[in-house]
Amino acid sequence: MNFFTNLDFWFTVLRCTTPVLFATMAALIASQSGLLNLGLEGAMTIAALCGVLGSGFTGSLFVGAITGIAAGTVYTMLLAYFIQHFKANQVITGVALNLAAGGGSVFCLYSLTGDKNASNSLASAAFPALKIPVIDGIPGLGDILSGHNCLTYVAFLVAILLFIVLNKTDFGVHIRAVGESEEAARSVGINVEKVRYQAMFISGVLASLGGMYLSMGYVNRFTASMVAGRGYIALATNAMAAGSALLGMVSSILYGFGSGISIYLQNNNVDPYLITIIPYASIIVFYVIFSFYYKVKRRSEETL
Amino acid sequence: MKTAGKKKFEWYGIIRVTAAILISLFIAAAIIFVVADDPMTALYKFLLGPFSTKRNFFNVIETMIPLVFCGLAINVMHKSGLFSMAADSSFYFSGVVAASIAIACPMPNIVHQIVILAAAMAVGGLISVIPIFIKRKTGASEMVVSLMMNYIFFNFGYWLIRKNFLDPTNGSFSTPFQKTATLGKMIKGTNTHYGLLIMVAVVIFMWILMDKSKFGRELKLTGSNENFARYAGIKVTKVVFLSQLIGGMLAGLGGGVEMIGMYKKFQWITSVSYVWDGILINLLAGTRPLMIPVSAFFISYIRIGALVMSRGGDVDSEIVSIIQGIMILLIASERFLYQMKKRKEEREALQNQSLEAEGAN
Amino acid sequence: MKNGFKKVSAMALAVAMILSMTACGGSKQAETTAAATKAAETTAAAKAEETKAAETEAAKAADGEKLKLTLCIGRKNDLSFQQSAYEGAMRVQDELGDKYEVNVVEMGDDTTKWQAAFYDAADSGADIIVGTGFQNKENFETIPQEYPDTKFILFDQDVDYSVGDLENVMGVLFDSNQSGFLAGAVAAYYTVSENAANPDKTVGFVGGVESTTINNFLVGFAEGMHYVDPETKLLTAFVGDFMDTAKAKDLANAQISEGADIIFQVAGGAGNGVIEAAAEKDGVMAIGVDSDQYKTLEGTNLQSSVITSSLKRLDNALFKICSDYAKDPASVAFGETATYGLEDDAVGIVFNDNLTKSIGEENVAKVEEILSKIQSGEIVVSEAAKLSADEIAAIVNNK
Repeated sequence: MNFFTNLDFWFTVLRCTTPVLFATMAALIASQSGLLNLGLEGAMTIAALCGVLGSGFTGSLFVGAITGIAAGTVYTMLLAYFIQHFKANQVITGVALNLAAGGGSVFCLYSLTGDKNASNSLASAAFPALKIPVIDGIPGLGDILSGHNCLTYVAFLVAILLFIVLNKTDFGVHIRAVGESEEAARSVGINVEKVRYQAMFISGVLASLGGMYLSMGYVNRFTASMVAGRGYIALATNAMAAGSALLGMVSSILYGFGSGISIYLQNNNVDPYLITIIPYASIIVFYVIFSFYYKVKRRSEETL
Repeated sequence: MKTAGKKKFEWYGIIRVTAAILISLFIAAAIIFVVADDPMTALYKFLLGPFSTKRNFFNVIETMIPLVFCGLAINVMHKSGLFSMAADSSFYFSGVVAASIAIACPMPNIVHQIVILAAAMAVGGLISVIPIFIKRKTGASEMVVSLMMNYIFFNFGYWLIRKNFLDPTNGSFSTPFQKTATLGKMIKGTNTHYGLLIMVAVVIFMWILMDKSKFGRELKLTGSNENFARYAGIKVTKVVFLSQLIGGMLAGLGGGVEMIGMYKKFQWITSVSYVWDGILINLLAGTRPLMIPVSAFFISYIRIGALVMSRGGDVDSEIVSIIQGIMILLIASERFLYQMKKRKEEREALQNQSLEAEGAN
Repeated sequence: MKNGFKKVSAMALAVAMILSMTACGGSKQAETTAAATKAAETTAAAKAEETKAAETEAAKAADGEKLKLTLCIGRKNDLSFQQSAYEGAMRVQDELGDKYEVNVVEMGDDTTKWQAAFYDAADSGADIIVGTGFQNKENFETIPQEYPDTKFILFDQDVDYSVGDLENVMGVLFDSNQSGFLAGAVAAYYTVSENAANPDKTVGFVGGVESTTINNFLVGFAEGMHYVDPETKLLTAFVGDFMDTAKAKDLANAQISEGADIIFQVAGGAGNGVIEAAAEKDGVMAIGVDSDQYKTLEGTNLQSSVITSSLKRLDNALFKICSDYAKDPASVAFGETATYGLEDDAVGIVFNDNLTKSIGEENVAKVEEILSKIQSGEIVVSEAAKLSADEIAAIVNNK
């Protein structure tokens, strides 16, 4: 485990954290409004694809980013619409949209570019990496914190911002009120549907950013199934966060840490299949511990 | 009077499913028409491809078998009101166990298959109970835990196979199974195996269990309203546990049957995700066990059709996932065609009123 | 133009239908998407026109008595050996179009459906059926027995000729371990050269999914670098599939941070992630695989980071077999395994200016000397198919 002292390892941890952090925040705001956004996986896939297509065909990063965000958000709003208007089951709707997004993205890519698994024939744009002025100069810290893709910084800012919005603003109070009790929120005159649509809109934008980080941030091409379950992982990291954006940040970093270990262990001749388990196993273990802690806490509060 | 009303409701369900299927197929046809250079041929192959050769048709049957097992597993697991996705873990890992016994333990014919399938069932059942057990103890969401579990069991299972039974000549698959560890081909010239008969037996068993037995009634009640079920004197915990156990056993049996029915060595080098298929098929069947083979047949039919289409043409077979997505969305939407139902109910109410009025006269 | 418009409008139509059906209130976004797709139209149209022109050309030539060649692969754009086979088939179509009618069948990822595809191909009256990979071993041992008049060629895997009458089957293997050996020699010279990022004698290897096909490169690579310098340390990692570019890049970056300054990628489409990682660091180079990736990456910023490529040219082998067969069917030996090596231009490495610039003329000459020693049989490279997992690990770690 000598790589723990390797600064690049910690850089990798933050990099692996980024897409999951976006997705965790997307899951968080949806769950705070009382909805389960199981469509994260699909939203990320669609945004990753459309961002690449948009920027590839126009040559403009801006157009690509807008296309990606728009596609991912429309997709998420579709999910919200089916749940709220058609009263469809959240889990099943999410599964349906994810299925359609997974295969549909391959289908669209093939029909539009002729590429089957990866957008190799398309020269798409990428978000730039940023050097943070002051921190970059500090030895050690600069190596870990500076030089990341700009979306990585956006992800952490979003987490902090979301924490403030949810806890300090009226909008955040409304979201949490709706999530806690639909009836109670309605009785004080909150438009439940509207608040939930707003929450899902934000959720869609965040998931799109997470998806685009994969195809336009770290690498700049879309490959089929590149989201690789991160949308589902976010459900777990969000469950661990128990409604706090800052805890969500911690749980996302935990996942990033697990993935970082699984990447660096490969060079030490550990079986690749065995170490792929590490991030998932660590999430389950911590999630179970957290849940148990919350359960005990709730119980002790009740007895008081 | 009451039975007539129930019948009408059934019809409404069938119309809804049919409409959803037709709409999604229509959209697929529209996409094919615009994407393909030769849309008529593509469409023809898509719709009738499975009938083009005997082998293609029986491909549909072979594909359907694991889908039925997973559909039934999801049926019983989700009817409890819990959305555990552990069926994937059960399916994959039971396949691993089945393959291991098939390779490593020589046994006489028939005994070997029975031992393999029994072990697969047991392992599948055990795995599926894990998420619900954790939920009872800690309150952790069964869906989150089971989703993460699926990754773990895939990687762990394949690692076990690689460690113990890797075939060095290809470096990916296992060494071949014992000759006795196969279900045998049922129809000459195809891969359709005797697992089909096991499937039929399981469907009948599940039909009786879910629709005719006390357990089925209790499970339905628990799923729709847990508190009410508790008032009615049902041992909710036990019923829920049993449902997960049975579901896992079904998925496990499916994994075992698929493994020794379709393969001669372990070849699952990428994770299988039958759980989504199971949800789709269960929904399409209106959560009725007896309808699950029908919906599984339909899904495998359009999948094989799409494959036949993509083999010769320029339409990717992934079009199927778009069809499936739209189909599930529409069926899952309670309000889809709700207007129709409402109007009909209103009309009936009016008729009843006029009838009553006439009767009064 | 028309075709491109068709494809774009298909997508628009599908989206519109779903939206209109549900009367979703996201019209603002839909408009933006539509605008973006519209902008995309021109590029897509130009592209579609090109393919269309190629298609009509092929259709024109499709007259008279021709040999029917059917290539059955999982996916043609896997950026690995299936794509290489596809390119070979396309070359047959282009250059031998008067003798061959070429059909490409994409069978998808589910290998249980492949058997039916091969039967379909055989039933359709194909003269030569081509498949790739170890997944097809059983299919090529059973199906050919039912179609004795059809020829079957299986790349990258030999079949067991003792299971029955397989006079019409040819298994084609490649000495890719020799390509790997030469790449290993290049890596050993580069990692101590003045261009390298660090003086560490550490090199990296990133594979797709661990299998004998990939390990054959790995074994040769390890032996080649240890032949030049037994002290050289090799870091190995596997992506787990051939598509996850990001993970491949992560793995490559991890190896770079542990001192690797040259990385051999045998990861198909995911391998571009390795080259990207190399391109982002000064003094780090990547070795391409299968075809000359310096050429295929022409015009991108990745090109200059490809020091050389370790070749395995399925396309050349397929083309050679087809042209020989068209001239005289008897000259192609079926019923046995053929091995394609250095003399057939099927394996080897790329010698170009980029290589000379990176390791210097003197070392290039040494690599060429190693090449001739392999040809003369003075150096014998191990084959992964004959080694156990432990033996492979021992070679990698030079124990």
